[in-house]
Order: sequence, then structure tokens, then C-alpha cells
Amino acid sequence: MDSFAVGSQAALIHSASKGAPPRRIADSAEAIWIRIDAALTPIVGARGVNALFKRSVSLVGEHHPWLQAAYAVAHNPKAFSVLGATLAQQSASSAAAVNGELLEAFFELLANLIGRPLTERLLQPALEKFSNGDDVQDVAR
Amino acid sequence: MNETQPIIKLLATGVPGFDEILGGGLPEYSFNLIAGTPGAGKTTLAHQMMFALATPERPAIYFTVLGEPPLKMLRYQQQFKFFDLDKLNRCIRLVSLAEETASGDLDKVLARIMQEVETHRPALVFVDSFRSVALANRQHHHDAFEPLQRFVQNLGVMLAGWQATTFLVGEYFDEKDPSPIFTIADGVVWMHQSQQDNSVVRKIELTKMRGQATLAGLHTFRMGPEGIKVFPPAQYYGAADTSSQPTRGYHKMGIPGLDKMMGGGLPRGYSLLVAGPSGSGKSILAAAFLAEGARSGEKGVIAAFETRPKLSRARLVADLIERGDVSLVDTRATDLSVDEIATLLIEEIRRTKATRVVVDSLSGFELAVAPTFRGDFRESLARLVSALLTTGVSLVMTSELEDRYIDLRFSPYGTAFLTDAIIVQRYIEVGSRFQRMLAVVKVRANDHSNELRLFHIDNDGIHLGEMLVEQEGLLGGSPSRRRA
Repeated sequence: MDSFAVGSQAALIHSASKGAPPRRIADSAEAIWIRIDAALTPIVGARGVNALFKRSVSLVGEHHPWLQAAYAVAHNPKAFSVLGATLAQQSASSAAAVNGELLEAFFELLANLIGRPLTERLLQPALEKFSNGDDVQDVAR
Repeated sequence: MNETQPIIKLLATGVPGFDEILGGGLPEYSFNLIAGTPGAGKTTLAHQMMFALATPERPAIYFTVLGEPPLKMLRYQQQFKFFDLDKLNRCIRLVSLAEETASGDLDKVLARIMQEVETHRPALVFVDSFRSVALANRQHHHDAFEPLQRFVQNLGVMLAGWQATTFLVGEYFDEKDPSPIFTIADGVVWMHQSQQDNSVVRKIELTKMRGQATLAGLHTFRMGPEGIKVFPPAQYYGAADTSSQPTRGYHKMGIPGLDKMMGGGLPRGYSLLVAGPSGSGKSILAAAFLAEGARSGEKGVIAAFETRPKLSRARLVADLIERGDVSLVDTRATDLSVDEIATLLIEEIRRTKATRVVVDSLSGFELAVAPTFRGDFRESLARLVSALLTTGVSLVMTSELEDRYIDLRFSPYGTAFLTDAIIVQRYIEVGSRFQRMLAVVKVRANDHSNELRLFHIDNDGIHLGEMLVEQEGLLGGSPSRRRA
């Protein structure tokens, strides 16, 4: 498993275990996706990011039928806020775990297409902010 | 040079052979078009140049328009060795223009390009594929010509103003397409895939390059793991390489007695044609020539079109290759061009400082070139020979000779005239045996023997024998005892 998915999942799960409410987990998850989108869209286009995101939701949704709502709008520019709203309805630990699965699926898809090193490089802007002790970690305190 | 003339800096494109046909390199700040049918290699050429040219001081922006999805482009282009991850984001920015193009509004596309250019100040700008821009425009305007022309004109003016060297990559099917950008562009590069029978040959052509003495015509290129490699015409090397003159003296042939027959050996810088029927020992003679070179510390290069080096008799050559005394030019690729072989040979000659070169055989060579080049094989071969000789080497070529006893011929290609020396091998019938015979027919400006000598071949190679002074009519294949 890659550092990106591990890190994000760990941080979210950590927040959840510290008793953060599901809404805050969901907000953090949404923030991560917005950063990924910002890092990738200029390069691969909004359609490219949307396609990958939709596929990720579809893959993870097989085990979590409640993600169907997010899948239905995954091509929509507001997809991330719908995902946030969907996650917020789950328990904090479940929301954190599922978002981790989504990130991992997304990373795997991209790595499959363009290789791991380039994937990491393209996602670096999103990663950097994440590892600098940002809002997700703040939630934990 | 006039001192008021601007000095145009030429950029090294990083595509082997391409700078040569460009006339030295790519003019800085030029506005270029890379045109061709789908699959012609346009994007690969653009990427290869970009990865070679982009540096932190000379950053590049690669705009992708609809055409090929950026994810796919990244997936496939990474297969090439020139793809350098470290340069991405550091000195190469990839920007998707998909949304702007989808709007069909060329002004939006232009505005976005300009915004990126002003923010990041690239020295190199690529727009791929431009065809998509043009098509998007056509959907929104009945008269598509005018806005497109304005767009290209503006883009050209703006990017020149920002001192950016620019490439528009586009699919065009017809060179006569009155597209306005052909007029505006400083340089137009066409990439073709020409087909004849089952063979497809890739060719590149510069139909326009302002201010540059380019090499005219269609030049073959090949795409491999390293990317694109262009093969300039063989005569280019002849013109470029005047430095290496062969030293005087002779190359020993490595066959006892043969040097004496030739008047001292093969004069350095000469080409020698060894002609004979199948199995007469031409390749063995050529191998002996290389082996003799190796004994005296001279490097050799061989383009072998027939023998498989691992097989029995060719063992000698295989050993020389293994020891590094001789380097083998890869002739296994399909649909070769003579220029490609010339380029590969000359590269090896320069790399190893070789003095002895063997092409074995011309007949195999002709079969290996793509059908489209067979028509002018003779001309190409003449260019190859003179190009090779300008590097200062000596060249031995073998040629299959249909054994006709009624006429005396040396080569089916009429190549005899372009070689400095000729050795002919024949089969003859003597005393109810199939015997071999050889003669030195010609060694230009050198006193050589006119003997017809028997020879035989064993595990140690060729051994010259007697003259058959009692016989006459040897060249007819069935000599008779001379009457006293």
C-alpha cells in the first residue's frame, strides 16, 4: 500500500478514534479530494479526474452500498461535497475507513495507468500539504 | 556576415539525426507545425524534443487539447527512455485545455494559453493536438477559416513576443490543405507512414523552415524504446566529414598469397567487391579481412545480412564480435533503408574508430531494404559507399554472382564501377572435380596480378593454390588442356 493512502487513512482513523464527529471526518475527507482534484485537473482535465473518481467510488461501493448516492453524482462538479455529505451520515470510524479505501482505489487506478512514480509526483502538491500537519491532524487534537 | 543581421540561435532537439536534416538545429523562437496522419509519431517527436530541450532556465508547457486523453498520453509516452520524471513539474508543465476547447470558443482557448504563458514564462510551448482546436472551432462557425486564422496569427505573434519556441502538433491528411497555419508557421515538419505491399516505412520531411538550409526530401526514421531516430541521407556524412583521410599503405587481407596478388594488399581507403556464386567463399574472405585487422589491432564493423553469426563457418566473425574487435550493425529490423544502414555503420565506425568495414552481402542487403527503396537501390548504394569511404575506412562488400559461364559479370547491381578493387570467385570443372578459382580483376592505380588461381577452403579459411597453366578456357567453367 502506498504512503499516500496509508497516511490519509491513518490520520482519518486517528481522528475518528479520538472522538471527532463524523461531520469533521467528512469535511477533512472532502478537503483531501479537493486538493487531489486541484493537483490533477490542470494536467489530465476535469473529465479525467472525474472518470477516475467515479470508478473509485464504483469499486469501493461494491462493499458499501450506501456510497450509491455519491456514485450517482460522481461526474458532477459537486461530487466531493456529496461524498462528504454521504460520509457524514456514517459513523466516524466507518467514514474514515471508507475514505481510505476510496483514496487507495483512486491511487491504484492512476498508478495502473501512468505508473507509481509519476502518480506520486503528480499528487505531490496534495501530499505535501497533507503531511505538513494540516486540518486533518488538527481535528485530532 | 552582415553585423546587423540577427543571430538565430539553433537549439539541439535531442532527436538523433533531426538536427542534421534541420540544417544544424531548431531556430530559437520559431513557430512550428508538426503535421501528419494519426500514428505518424507527432506526439512522440514533440515529447522527445521537449524532454531534451526543457531545463529549469528554459521551461516548457505542454498544452493538451481534446485529441489524445492526457492520461493515455502520459501512460504511453513513459514507455520511451527520454521520458524524464524529474523534469515533470520542475521544468515541464502539462496543462489540459480540454474544458476551453470543449466550449468551442477560440478566444477562450487563446486566453487560457496566454494566461499560462504569462504566469510561467515558458521558453517552449507545445499545443497538442491543434487539429482538435480547429475542429472545435468549425462546429461553432460556418465560416471556420477566419477565426482560426486569427487565432493562429495571434498565437504566433504573442508567443514570438514572449520569446517562446512553439510547436503546434496536428493531424493533417492533405499537404494541400489550404490551412492558414501553413502560411504563418516558420517551420513545417511532416511525418508520414508510407506503405507499399505489406511494408510500412516511416518518413519525415521538412517542407518549410525559414532561414535554414535544411536537407530536402523524405528521410526515413525509426521509433524504438529510445524514441525517434532520423536517418539523414548517406551523402550528408560525406559532406560533413572531410577530416578523416586514410593513411597511405595497405590493409593485409589475411589470406596467404592474396596480398601479393593484389600488389601489396588492399590500399587503405579503398572499396573492394568480392563477387562469386553461392558458396564460393566470399564471406570467408571478408571474415579473414576482419580477423587480419584484429590481429594488428584494427577495429572492424560488419553489417551481415545473410550469415547467422552463431553458425559454424561464421564462427570466426562471431568470435571477433565477442572479443569486441568487430562490432555488428543490427540488420534484423524490417523494412530497412539504405540511409539507416549508412547511419548505423558510420555511428559504429566513429564509436570504435574502426578502419575495416564489411557489408555481407549486397544481395542480402537488397532483400532487407523495404520494397519502396529497391527501385533506387543502386543510387543509394553508391551514396553509401562514398559516404563510408569519406570516413577513411576500407570497405569490403560481397556480392552474389549468378554463375553464368558464358559471360563475365561481377555484380548484378552494376556496382562494379563504384568499387576500387574487385576479386572474382568462380567454380570450374577440372579433373572431374568442382574446383574454386579466384582472380584479382581490378585494384585501381595499383599493380596487381592477373593470375587465375585455384583455391580451397578448410577450417583455417582460404588457401590459394596453383595457377592452371596447362588449362585454358577457365572462365568458361570447363577448361580444356592446352595443346602443346
